[in-house]
Amino acid sequence: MNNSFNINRFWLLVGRQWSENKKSYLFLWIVISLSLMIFSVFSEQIGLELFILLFCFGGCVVITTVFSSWPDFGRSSLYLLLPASLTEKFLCGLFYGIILFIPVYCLTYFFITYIFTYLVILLFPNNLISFSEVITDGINKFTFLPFSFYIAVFLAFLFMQSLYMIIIIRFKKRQILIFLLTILAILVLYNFGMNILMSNIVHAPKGHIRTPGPLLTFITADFGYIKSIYNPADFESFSFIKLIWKLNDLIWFIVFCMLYLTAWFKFKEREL
Amino acid sequence: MITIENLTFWYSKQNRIFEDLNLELDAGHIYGLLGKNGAGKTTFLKLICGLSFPKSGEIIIDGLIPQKRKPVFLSDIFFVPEEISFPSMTAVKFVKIYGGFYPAFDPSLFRGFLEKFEVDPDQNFSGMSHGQKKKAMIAFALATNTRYLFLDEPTYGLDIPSKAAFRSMLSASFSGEKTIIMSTHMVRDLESLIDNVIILENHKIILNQSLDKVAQKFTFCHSLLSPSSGEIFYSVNSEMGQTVISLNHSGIAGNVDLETLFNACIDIPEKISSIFEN
Repeated sequence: MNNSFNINRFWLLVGRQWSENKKSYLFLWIVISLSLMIFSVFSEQIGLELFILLFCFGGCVVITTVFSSWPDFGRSSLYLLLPASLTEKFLCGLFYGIILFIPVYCLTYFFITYIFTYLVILLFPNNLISFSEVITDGINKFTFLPFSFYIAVFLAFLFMQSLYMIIIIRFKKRQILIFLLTILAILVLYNFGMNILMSNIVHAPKGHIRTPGPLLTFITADFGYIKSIYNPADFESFSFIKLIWKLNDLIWFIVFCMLYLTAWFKFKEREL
Repeated sequence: MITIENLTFWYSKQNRIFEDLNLELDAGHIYGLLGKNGAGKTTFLKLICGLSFPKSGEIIIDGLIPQKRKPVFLSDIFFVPEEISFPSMTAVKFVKIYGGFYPAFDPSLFRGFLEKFEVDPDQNFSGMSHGQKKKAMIAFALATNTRYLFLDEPTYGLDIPSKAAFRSMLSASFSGEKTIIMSTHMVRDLESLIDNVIILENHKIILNQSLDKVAQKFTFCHSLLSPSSGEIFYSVNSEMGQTVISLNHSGIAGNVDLETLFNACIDIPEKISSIFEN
Protein backbone atom coordinates (compact mmCIF):
# COMPACT_ATOMS: atom_id res chain seq x y z
CA MET A 1 0.00 0.00 0.00
CA ASN A 2 1.28 3.45 -0.95
CA ASN A 3 1.52 5.39 2.29
CA SER A 4 2.34 8.81 0.82
CA PHE A 5 -0.02 9.57 -2.03
CA ASN A 6 -2.63 7.52 -3.81
CA ILE A 7 -4.82 9.21 -6.38
CA ASN A 8 -7.83 6.98 -5.67
CA ARG A 9 -7.77 7.83 -1.98
CA PHE A 10 -7.33 11.50 -2.87
CA TRP A 11 -10.46 11.48 -5.05
CA LEU A 12 -12.34 9.63 -2.31
CA LEU A 13 -11.37 12.44 0.06
CA VAL A 14 -12.43 15.07 -2.48
CA GLY A 15 -15.79 13.28 -2.88
CA ARG A 16 -16.22 13.01 0.87
CA GLN A 17 -15.44 16.70 1.32
CA TRP A 18 -18.00 17.67 -1.29
CA SER A 19 -20.72 15.39 0.06
CA GLU A 20 -20.35 16.68 3.60
CA ASN A 21 -19.94 20.37 2.81
CA LYS A 22 -21.83 21.12 -0.38
CA LYS A 23 -24.47 23.08 1.53
CA SER A 24 -21.78 25.20 3.21
CA TYR A 25 -20.13 25.87 -0.16
CA LEU A 26 -23.44 26.84 -1.71
CA PHE A 27 -24.17 29.15 1.23
CA LEU A 28 -20.71 30.76 0.91
CA TRP A 29 -21.23 31.24 -2.82
CA ILE A 30 -24.60 32.89 -2.15
CA VAL A 31 -23.12 35.20 0.50
CA ILE A 32 -20.29 36.27 -1.82
CA SER A 33 -22.63 36.70 -4.80
CA LEU A 34 -25.16 38.71 -2.78
CA SER A 35 -22.42 40.96 -1.37
CA LEU A 36 -21.12 41.63 -4.87
CA MET A 37 -24.66 42.18 -6.21
CA ILE A 38 -25.54 44.66 -3.48
CA PHE A 39 -22.35 46.61 -4.07
CA SER A 40 -22.74 46.51 -7.84
CA VAL A 41 -26.29 47.84 -7.61
CA PHE A 42 -25.73 50.54 -5.01
CA SER A 43 -22.20 51.50 -5.94
CA GLU A 44 -21.00 52.68 -9.33
CA GLN A 45 -18.18 50.19 -9.34
CA ILE A 46 -17.23 47.30 -7.13
CA GLY A 47 -14.01 48.35 -5.46
CA LEU A 48 -10.88 46.28 -5.62
CA GLU A 49 -10.86 46.37 -1.85
CA LEU A 50 -14.11 44.39 -1.78
CA PHE A 51 -12.71 41.96 -4.35
CA ILE A 52 -9.66 41.31 -2.16
CA LEU A 53 -11.65 41.20 1.08
CA LEU A 54 -14.17 38.64 -0.19
CA PHE A 55 -11.41 36.69 -1.89
CA CYS A 56 -9.46 36.24 1.36
CA PHE A 57 -12.64 35.72 3.41
CA GLY A 58 -13.91 33.00 1.07
CA GLY A 59 -10.54 31.27 0.98
CA CYS A 60 -10.48 31.11 4.76
CA VAL A 61 -14.07 29.84 5.01
CA VAL A 62 -13.37 27.02 2.55
CA ILE A 63 -10.35 25.97 4.60
CA THR A 64 -12.52 26.03 7.74
CA THR A 65 -14.77 23.34 6.28
CA VAL A 66 -11.77 21.04 5.91
CA PHE A 67 -9.81 21.46 9.13
CA SER A 68 -11.90 22.87 11.93
CA SER A 69 -14.05 20.14 13.47
CA TRP A 70 -11.68 19.59 16.40
CA PRO A 71 -14.16 20.43 19.21
CA ASP A 72 -16.41 17.65 17.84
CA PHE A 73 -14.43 14.59 18.96
CA GLY A 74 -16.60 12.11 17.06
CA ARG A 75 -16.26 13.89 13.71
CA SER A 76 -12.60 14.76 14.06
CA SER A 77 -11.57 11.26 15.19
CA LEU A 78 -13.44 9.82 12.20
CA TYR A 79 -11.57 12.23 9.92
CA LEU A 80 -8.10 11.81 11.44
CA LEU A 81 -8.41 8.02 11.44
CA LEU A 82 -9.70 7.83 7.89
CA PRO A 83 -7.30 5.57 5.98
CA ALA A 84 -5.61 8.24 3.88
CA SER A 85 -2.23 9.86 4.34
CA LEU A 86 -1.81 13.27 5.96
CA THR A 87 -0.50 14.57 2.65
CA GLU A 88 -3.66 13.44 0.85
CA LYS A 89 -5.89 15.05 3.50
CA PHE A 90 -3.87 18.26 3.41
CA LEU A 91 -3.82 18.42 -0.40
CA CYS A 92 -7.57 17.85 -0.41
CA GLY A 93 -7.86 21.03 1.69
CA LEU A 94 -5.65 22.94 -0.77
CA PHE A 95 -7.62 21.51 -3.70
CA TYR A 96 -10.80 23.10 -2.35
CA GLY A 97 -9.14 26.19 -0.85
CA ILE A 98 -7.00 27.17 -3.85
CA ILE A 99 -7.53 25.13 -7.00
CA LEU A 100 -11.33 25.16 -6.94
CA PHE A 101 -12.01 28.32 -4.98
CA ILE A 102 -9.93 30.79 -7.03
CA PRO A 103 -11.49 30.11 -10.48
CA VAL A 104 -15.01 29.86 -9.02
CA TYR A 105 -14.55 33.14 -7.15
CA CYS A 106 -13.09 34.96 -10.17
CA LEU A 107 -15.85 33.73 -12.46
CA THR A 108 -18.48 34.75 -9.89
CA TYR A 109 -16.88 38.18 -9.55
CA PHE A 110 -16.78 38.67 -13.32
CA PHE A 111 -20.33 37.41 -13.74
CA ILE A 112 -21.79 39.60 -10.99
CA THR A 113 -19.76 42.70 -11.81
CA TYR A 114 -20.45 42.74 -15.51
CA ILE A 115 -23.19 40.37 -16.59
CA PHE A 116 -25.42 40.94 -13.57
CA THR A 117 -24.88 44.69 -13.83
CA TYR A 118 -25.86 44.52 -17.51
CA LEU A 119 -29.04 42.62 -16.62
CA VAL A 120 -29.89 45.34 -14.10
CA ILE A 121 -29.24 48.02 -16.73
CA LEU A 122 -31.66 46.22 -19.07
CA LEU A 123 -34.44 47.05 -16.63
CA PHE A 124 -34.10 50.68 -17.63
CA PRO A 125 -35.70 51.26 -21.07
CA ASN A 126 -33.38 54.07 -22.18
CA ASN A 127 -30.09 52.24 -21.80
CA LEU A 128 -27.77 52.49 -24.76
CA ILE A 129 -25.12 50.04 -23.74
CA SER A 130 -24.82 46.76 -25.63
CA PHE A 131 -23.92 43.46 -24.00
CA SER A 132 -20.66 43.20 -25.97
CA GLU A 133 -19.67 46.65 -24.72
CA VAL A 134 -20.19 45.57 -21.13
CA ILE A 135 -18.14 42.40 -21.61
CA THR A 136 -15.38 44.25 -23.50
CA ASP A 137 -15.33 46.89 -20.78
CA GLY A 138 -15.01 44.16 -18.14
CA ILE A 139 -12.18 42.40 -19.94
CA ASN A 140 -10.44 45.73 -20.50
CA LYS A 141 -10.65 46.52 -16.80
CA PHE A 142 -9.11 43.16 -15.96
CA THR A 143 -6.32 43.56 -18.50
CA PHE A 144 -5.75 47.22 -17.59
CA LEU A 145 -4.48 46.24 -14.17
CA PRO A 146 -0.81 45.27 -14.23
CA PHE A 147 0.18 41.65 -13.67
CA SER A 148 1.96 42.71 -10.48
CA PHE A 149 -1.46 43.56 -9.02
CA TYR A 150 -2.71 40.02 -9.47
CA ILE A 151 0.51 38.66 -8.04
CA ALA A 152 0.08 40.91 -5.02
CA VAL A 153 -3.55 39.86 -4.51
CA PHE A 154 -2.59 36.20 -4.86
CA LEU A 155 0.21 36.65 -2.33
CA ALA A 156 -2.13 38.41 0.11
CA PHE A 157 -4.58 35.52 -0.32
CA LEU A 158 -1.89 32.92 0.30
CA PHE A 159 -0.73 34.79 3.38
CA MET A 160 -4.19 35.05 4.91
CA GLN A 161 -5.17 31.48 4.07
CA SER A 162 -1.95 29.82 5.23
CA LEU A 163 -1.94 31.77 8.48
CA TYR A 164 -5.59 30.98 9.07
CA MET A 165 -4.91 27.32 8.30
CA ILE A 166 -2.16 27.17 10.92
CA ILE A 167 -4.47 28.75 13.50
CA ILE A 168 -7.48 26.54 12.87
CA ILE A 169 -5.35 23.40 12.90
CA ARG A 170 -3.45 24.43 16.03
CA PHE A 171 -6.32 25.80 18.13
CA LYS A 172 -9.60 24.17 19.09
CA LYS A 173 -11.49 27.29 20.14
CA ARG A 174 -11.56 31.05 19.46
CA GLN A 175 -9.79 30.51 16.15
CA ILE A 176 -11.19 33.63 14.46
CA LEU A 177 -10.26 35.90 17.37
CA ILE A 178 -6.73 34.48 17.46
CA PHE A 179 -6.46 34.93 13.70
CA LEU A 180 -7.57 38.57 13.82
CA LEU A 181 -5.23 39.35 16.70
CA THR A 182 -2.35 37.66 14.88
CA ILE A 183 -3.04 39.65 11.70
CA LEU A 184 -3.19 42.85 13.73
CA ALA A 185 0.07 42.03 15.50
CA ILE A 186 1.79 41.23 12.20
CA LEU A 187 0.56 44.46 10.59
CA VAL A 188 1.70 46.55 13.54
CA LEU A 189 5.12 44.88 13.61
CA TYR A 190 5.46 45.10 9.84
CA ASN A 191 4.46 48.75 9.78
CA PHE A 192 6.82 49.53 12.64
CA GLY A 193 9.69 47.67 10.96
CA MET A 194 9.07 49.31 7.59
CA ASN A 195 8.84 52.72 9.24
CA ILE A 196 12.32 52.25 10.60
CA LEU A 197 13.57 50.86 7.27
CA MET A 198 12.03 53.64 5.20
CA SER A 199 13.21 56.43 7.45
CA ASN A 200 16.76 55.08 7.66
CA ILE A 201 17.57 53.41 4.34
CA VAL A 202 15.19 54.46 1.60
CA HIS A 203 14.94 58.11 0.73
CA ALA A 204 11.92 59.01 -1.33
CA PRO A 205 12.48 61.85 -3.76
CA LYS A 206 11.13 65.22 -2.78
CA GLY A 207 7.50 65.87 -3.57
CA HIS A 208 6.45 62.20 -3.35
CA ILE A 209 4.31 60.65 -0.66
CA ARG A 210 6.02 57.29 -0.42
CA THR A 211 6.97 57.77 3.19
CA PRO A 212 4.97 55.55 5.56
CA GLY A 213 1.45 56.76 5.91
CA PRO A 214 -1.52 55.24 7.71
CA LEU A 215 -1.12 51.60 8.52
CA LEU A 216 -3.33 49.93 5.89
CA THR A 217 -2.46 52.31 3.06
CA PHE A 218 1.15 51.62 3.64
CA ILE A 219 0.70 47.87 3.78
CA THR A 220 -1.33 47.74 0.57
CA ALA A 221 1.17 50.05 -1.03
CA ASP A 222 3.91 47.61 -0.29
CA PHE A 223 1.91 44.46 -1.05
CA GLY A 224 -0.11 45.65 -4.01
CA TYR A 225 1.74 48.64 -5.44
CA ILE A 226 -1.54 50.54 -5.29
CA LYS A 227 0.14 53.87 -5.62
CA SER A 228 2.25 52.70 -8.50
CA ILE A 229 -0.91 51.52 -10.29
CA TYR A 230 -2.62 54.84 -10.04
CA ASN A 231 0.50 56.85 -10.67
CA PRO A 232 3.14 54.87 -12.54
CA ALA A 233 5.58 57.76 -12.28
CA ASP A 234 5.63 57.30 -8.56
CA PHE A 235 6.78 53.73 -9.05
CA GLU A 236 9.57 54.86 -11.38
CA SER A 237 10.82 57.50 -8.98
CA PHE A 238 11.21 54.94 -6.25
CA SER A 239 14.77 53.86 -5.66
CA PHE A 240 14.08 50.09 -5.81
CA ILE A 241 14.66 48.53 -9.17
CA LYS A 242 12.05 46.21 -10.74
CA LEU A 243 14.22 43.19 -10.19
CA ILE A 244 14.10 43.79 -6.47
CA TRP A 245 10.32 44.04 -6.61
CA LYS A 246 10.22 40.68 -8.35
CA LEU A 247 12.62 39.27 -5.81
CA ASN A 248 10.35 40.71 -3.16
CA ASP A 249 7.40 38.77 -4.64
CA LEU A 250 9.48 35.63 -4.80
CA ILE A 251 10.56 35.99 -1.17
CA TRP A 252 6.95 36.48 -0.06
CA PHE A 253 5.88 33.50 -2.14
CA ILE A 254 8.53 31.32 -0.47
CA VAL A 255 7.54 32.67 2.97
CA PHE A 256 3.87 31.81 2.35
CA CYS A 257 4.77 28.35 1.05
CA MET A 258 6.66 27.89 4.31
CA LEU A 259 3.49 28.89 6.16
CA TYR A 260 1.56 26.16 4.32
CA LEU A 261 4.35 23.76 5.21
CA THR A 262 4.02 24.82 8.84
CA ALA A 263 0.28 24.15 8.62
CA TRP A 264 1.08 20.67 7.28
CA PHE A 265 3.39 20.01 10.25
CA LYS A 266 0.75 21.29 12.64
CA PHE A 267 -1.73 18.93 11.00
CA LYS A 268 0.74 16.06 11.38
CA GLU A 269 1.09 16.85 15.08
CA ARG A 270 -2.64 17.35 15.62
CA GLU A 271 -3.86 15.37 18.64
CA LEU A 272 -7.34 15.00 20.01
CA MET B 1 0.18 -7.68 18.29
CA ILE B 2 0.14 -4.49 20.34
CA THR B 3 3.31 -3.68 22.26
CA ILE B 4 3.50 -0.80 24.69
CA GLU B 5 6.87 0.03 26.21
CA ASN B 6 7.51 2.53 29.00
CA LEU B 7 4.55 4.63 27.97
CA THR B 8 4.21 7.92 29.82
CA PHE B 9 1.41 10.33 29.06
CA TRP B 10 -0.08 13.40 30.65
CA TYR B 11 -2.37 16.27 29.75
CA SER B 12 -0.74 18.42 32.43
CA LYS B 13 2.57 17.48 34.06
CA GLN B 14 1.05 17.60 37.54
CA ASN B 15 -1.59 15.08 36.58
CA ARG B 16 0.00 12.09 34.89
CA ILE B 17 -2.31 9.59 33.26
CA PHE B 18 0.24 6.85 32.58
CA GLU B 19 3.73 6.38 33.87
CA ASP B 20 6.11 3.75 32.49
CA LEU B 21 3.31 1.56 31.28
CA ASN B 22 4.29 -1.76 29.72
CA LEU B 23 1.85 -4.09 28.02
CA GLU B 24 1.62 -6.73 25.34
CA LEU B 25 -1.69 -7.66 23.76
CA ASP B 26 -1.94 -10.67 21.48
CA ALA B 27 -4.29 -11.16 18.59
CA GLY B 28 -7.34 -13.39 18.94
CA HIS B 29 -8.66 -11.88 22.16
CA ILE B 30 -11.39 -9.54 23.28
CA TYR B 31 -9.98 -7.30 25.96
CA GLY B 32 -12.12 -5.52 28.49
CA LEU B 33 -10.58 -2.27 29.66
CA LEU B 34 -11.81 -1.30 33.11
CA GLY B 35 -11.01 1.61 35.36
CA LYS B 36 -12.54 4.32 37.46
CA ASN B 37 -13.54 7.66 35.94
CA GLY B 38 -10.40 9.53 34.93
CA ALA B 39 -8.22 6.41 35.08
CA GLY B 40 -7.34 6.88 31.42
CA LYS B 41 -9.43 4.32 29.54
CA THR B 42 -10.37 6.65 26.70
CA THR B 43 -6.85 8.12 26.66
CA PHE B 44 -5.45 4.61 26.39
CA LEU B 45 -7.63 3.93 23.35
CA LYS B 46 -6.72 7.30 21.83
CA LEU B 47 -3.03 6.52 22.27
CA ILE B 48 -3.17 3.11 20.63
CA CYS B 49 -5.12 4.34 17.64
CA GLY B 50 -2.88 7.38 17.15
CA LEU B 51 -5.21 10.20 18.15
CA SER B 52 -2.91 11.18 21.02
CA PHE B 53 0.87 10.87 21.14
CA PRO B 54 2.93 9.44 24.02
CA LYS B 55 5.11 11.90 25.94
CA SER B 56 7.71 9.16 26.20
CA GLY B 57 7.91 5.47 25.45
CA GLU B 58 6.39 3.84 22.40
CA ILE B 59 3.41 1.97 21.08
CA ILE B 60 3.89 -0.48 18.25
CA ILE B 61 1.06 -2.30 16.49
CA ASP B 62 2.26 -4.96 14.08
CA GLY B 63 5.51 -3.04 13.59
CA LEU B 64 3.72 0.26 12.91
CA ILE B 65 3.68 3.36 15.07
CA PRO B 66 0.09 4.65 15.47
CA GLN B 67 1.04 8.33 15.76
CA LYS B 68 2.40 8.31 12.19
CA ARG B 69 -1.17 7.61 11.00
CA LYS B 70 -0.05 5.79 7.88
CA PRO B 71 -2.85 4.53 5.61
CA VAL B 72 -1.59 0.94 5.96
CA PHE B 73 -2.15 1.23 9.72
CA LEU B 74 -5.38 3.22 9.58
CA SER B 75 -6.98 0.78 7.13
CA ASP B 76 -6.53 -1.97 9.72
CA ILE B 77 -8.00 -0.23 12.77
CA PHE B 78 -11.35 1.24 13.67
CA PHE B 79 -12.17 3.34 16.70
CA VAL B 80 -15.73 3.80 17.95
CA PRO B 81 -15.78 6.76 20.36
CA GLU B 82 -18.21 7.11 23.23
CA GLU B 83 -19.82 10.20 21.70
CA ILE B 84 -20.84 9.54 18.12
CA SER B 85 -21.10 12.30 15.58
CA PHE B 86 -21.98 11.79 11.95
CA PRO B 87 -22.16 14.19 9.03
CA SER B 88 -25.69 15.06 7.98
CA MET B 89 -26.46 12.20 5.55
CA THR B 90 -28.10 8.79 5.42
CA ALA B 91 -26.34 5.56 6.36
CA VAL B 92 -26.46 4.46 2.71
CA LYS B 93 -24.65 7.63 1.60
CA PHE B 94 -22.19 7.37 4.47
CA VAL B 95 -21.21 3.86 3.42
CA LYS B 96 -20.72 4.96 -0.18
CA ILE B 97 -18.31 7.68 0.94
CA TYR B 98 -16.49 6.08 3.85
CA GLY B 99 -16.63 2.39 2.92
CA GLY B 100 -14.25 2.93 0.01
CA PHE B 101 -11.42 3.82 2.38
CA TYR B 102 -11.48 0.38 4.02
CA PRO B 103 -10.21 -2.38 1.71
CA ALA B 104 -12.10 -5.19 3.50
CA PHE B 105 -15.35 -3.28 3.94
CA ASP B 106 -18.45 -5.41 3.30
CA PRO B 107 -21.61 -3.37 2.45
CA SER B 108 -23.92 -6.38 2.71
CA LEU B 109 -22.59 -7.09 6.20
CA PHE B 110 -23.29 -3.46 7.12
CA ARG B 111 -26.85 -3.69 5.85
CA GLY B 112 -27.33 -6.93 7.79
CA PHE B 113 -26.05 -5.38 11.01
CA LEU B 114 -28.30 -2.34 10.57
CA GLU B 115 -31.23 -4.66 10.08
CA LYS B 116 -30.43 -6.53 13.30
CA PHE B 117 -30.14 -3.23 15.12
CA GLU B 118 -33.41 -2.05 13.55
CA VAL B 119 -31.82 1.09 12.14
CA ASP B 120 -33.28 2.48 8.92
CA PRO B 121 -30.42 2.87 6.42
CA ASP B 122 -32.33 5.59 4.54
CA GLN B 123 -32.86 7.79 7.60
CA ASN B 124 -30.63 10.85 7.95
CA PHE B 125 -28.20 10.68 10.88
CA SER B 126 -29.27 14.16 11.98
CA GLY B 127 -32.72 12.76 12.82
CA MET B 128 -31.37 9.78 14.77
CA SER B 129 -31.10 9.42 18.54
CA HIS B 130 -27.73 8.91 20.22
CA GLY B 131 -28.41 5.19 20.57
CA GLN B 132 -29.33 4.81 16.90
CA LYS B 133 -26.20 6.66 15.82
CA LYS B 134 -24.13 4.43 18.05
CA LYS B 135 -25.69 1.34 16.52
CA ALA B 136 -24.99 2.64 13.01
CA MET B 137 -21.37 3.35 13.95
CA ILE B 138 -20.94 -0.11 15.52
CA ALA B 139 -22.45 -1.69 12.41
CA PHE B 140 -20.04 0.27 10.22
CA ALA B 141 -17.08 -0.59 12.48
CA LEU B 142 -17.85 -4.33 12.31
CA ALA B 143 -18.41 -4.18 8.55
CA THR B 144 -14.97 -2.64 7.95
CA ASN B 145 -13.45 -6.01 8.96
CA THR B 146 -10.39 -4.30 10.39
CA ARG B 147 -8.07 -6.49 12.45
CA TYR B 148 -8.07 -4.04 15.35
CA LEU B 149 -11.27 -2.70 16.77
CA PHE B 150 -11.29 -0.24 19.66
CA LEU B 151 -14.61 0.55 21.29
CA ASP B 152 -15.12 3.17 23.95
CA GLU B 153 -18.18 2.39 26.09
CA PRO B 154 -19.89 0.50 23.23
CA THR B 155 -23.05 -0.36 25.13
CA TYR B 156 -23.58 3.09 26.60
CA GLY B 157 -26.83 4.44 25.16
CA LEU B 158 -27.99 1.12 23.68
CA ASP B 159 -31.37 -0.32 24.64
CA ILE B 160 -31.61 -3.85 26.09
CA PRO B 161 -32.37 -5.73 22.82
CA SER B 162 -29.59 -3.83 21.08
CA LYS B 163 -27.08 -4.83 23.75
CA ALA B 164 -27.92 -8.48 23.09
CA ALA B 165 -27.73 -7.90 19.33
CA PHE B 166 -24.37 -6.18 19.77
CA ARG B 167 -22.99 -9.14 21.72
CA SER B 168 -24.13 -11.64 19.10
CA MET B 169 -22.80 -9.55 16.20
CA LEU B 170 -19.45 -8.98 17.85
CA SER B 171 -18.92 -12.64 18.69
CA ALA B 172 -20.06 -13.64 15.18
CA SER B 173 -17.65 -11.30 13.45
CA PHE B 174 -14.74 -12.08 15.76
CA SER B 175 -11.98 -14.32 14.49
CA GLY B 176 -8.53 -15.48 15.57
CA GLU B 177 -6.58 -12.76 13.78
CA LYS B 178 -8.62 -9.93 15.28
CA THR B 179 -8.03 -7.93 18.45
CA ILE B 180 -10.86 -6.08 20.13
CA ILE B 181 -10.40 -3.71 23.04
CA MET B 182 -13.50 -2.36 24.75
CA SER B 183 -13.52 0.11 27.56
CA THR B 184 -16.58 -0.03 29.74
CA HIS B 185 -18.19 0.84 33.03
CA MET B 186 -21.05 -1.52 32.35
CA VAL B 187 -19.22 -4.78 32.92
CA ARG B 188 -22.38 -6.84 33.13
CA ASP B 189 -23.17 -5.97 29.49
CA LEU B 190 -19.91 -7.37 28.23
CA GLU B 191 -19.02 -10.06 30.75
CA SER B 192 -19.91 -12.83 28.33
CA LEU B 193 -17.76 -11.36 25.54
CA ILE B 194 -14.52 -10.47 27.26
CA ASP B 195 -11.83 -13.11 27.54
CA ASN B 196 -9.11 -10.85 28.98
CA VAL B 197 -9.39 -8.09 31.50
CA ILE B 198 -7.17 -5.01 31.85
CA ILE B 199 -7.68 -2.80 34.90
CA LEU B 200 -6.20 0.69 35.02
CA GLU B 201 -5.57 2.49 38.29
CA ASN B 202 -3.07 5.09 39.50
CA HIS B 203 -1.26 5.54 36.17
CA LYS B 204 -0.62 1.80 35.93
CA ILE B 205 -2.16 -1.43 34.77
CA ILE B 206 -2.92 -3.27 37.97
CA LEU B 207 -4.33 -6.36 36.31
CA ASN B 208 -3.90 -7.84 32.85
CA GLN B 209 -5.07 -11.43 32.90
CA SER B 210 -7.23 -13.80 30.97
CA LEU B 211 -10.53 -14.58 32.62
CA ASP B 212 -9.61 -18.28 32.49
CA LYS B 213 -6.63 -17.60 34.67
CA VAL B 214 -8.69 -15.44 37.03
CA ALA B 215 -11.23 -18.25 37.32
CA GLN B 216 -8.46 -20.75 38.06
CA LYS B 217 -7.17 -18.58 40.90
CA PHE B 218 -10.42 -17.35 42.42
CA THR B 219 -13.96 -18.41 43.02
CA PHE B 220 -16.75 -15.87 43.20
CA CYS B 221 -19.92 -16.40 45.16
CA HIS B 222 -22.85 -14.47 46.54
CA SER B 223 -23.82 -15.29 50.08
CA LEU B 224 -26.59 -14.14 52.36
CA LEU B 225 -24.63 -15.33 55.37
CA SER B 226 -21.08 -14.25 56.16
CA PRO B 227 -18.74 -17.07 55.22
CA SER B 228 -16.04 -18.12 57.67
CA SER B 229 -13.28 -15.52 57.55
CA GLY B 230 -10.57 -18.07 56.78
CA GLU B 231 -11.98 -18.68 53.30
CA ILE B 232 -12.46 -15.02 52.38
CA PHE B 233 -9.88 -13.42 50.16
CA TYR B 234 -12.01 -10.38 49.56
CA SER B 235 -15.61 -9.52 50.27
CA VAL B 236 -17.89 -6.67 49.47
CA ASN B 237 -21.44 -5.95 50.55
CA SER B 238 -24.00 -6.16 47.83
CA GLU B 239 -27.78 -6.01 47.55
CA MET B 240 -27.75 -9.84 47.74
CA GLY B 241 -25.84 -9.97 50.99
CA GLN B 242 -22.13 -10.38 50.39
CA THR B 243 -20.09 -11.07 47.30
CA VAL B 244 -17.05 -13.03 48.20
CA ILE B 245 -13.83 -13.84 46.41
CA SER B 246 -11.96 -16.81 47.76
CA LEU B 247 -8.95 -18.71 46.53
CA ASN B 248 -9.77 -21.55 44.20
CA HIS B 249 -8.24 -24.72 45.59
CA SER B 250 -10.32 -27.09 43.50
CA GLY B 251 -8.70 -26.15 40.20
CA ILE B 252 -12.12 -26.11 38.52
CA ALA B 253 -12.73 -22.80 36.78
CA GLY B 254 -16.06 -21.16 37.52
CA ASN B 255 -17.59 -17.87 36.47
CA VAL B 256 -15.83 -14.58 37.07
CA ASP B 257 -17.78 -11.70 38.57
CA LEU B 258 -16.03 -8.81 36.83
CA GLU B 259 -17.56 -6.15 39.05
CA THR B 260 -16.30 -7.81 42.22
CA LEU B 261 -12.93 -8.51 40.65
CA PHE B 262 -12.66 -4.85 39.69
CA ASN B 263 -13.55 -3.72 43.24
CA ALA B 264 -10.99 -6.11 44.68
CA CYS B 265 -8.28 -4.83 42.31
CA ILE B 266 -9.02 -1.24 43.35
CA ASP B 267 -9.12 -2.04 47.10
CA ILE B 268 -6.32 -4.61 47.41
CA PRO B 269 -4.20 -4.34 44.25
CA GLU B 270 -1.01 -5.76 45.83
CA LYS B 271 -2.76 -8.82 47.20
CA ILE B 272 -4.36 -9.56 43.83
CA SER B 273 -1.05 -9.10 41.97
CA SER B 274 0.78 -11.35 44.41
CA ILE B 275 -1.64 -14.18 43.67
CA PHE B 276 -0.90 -14.02 39.94
CA GLU B 277 2.84 -13.58 40.49
CA ASN B 278 2.87 -16.76 42.55
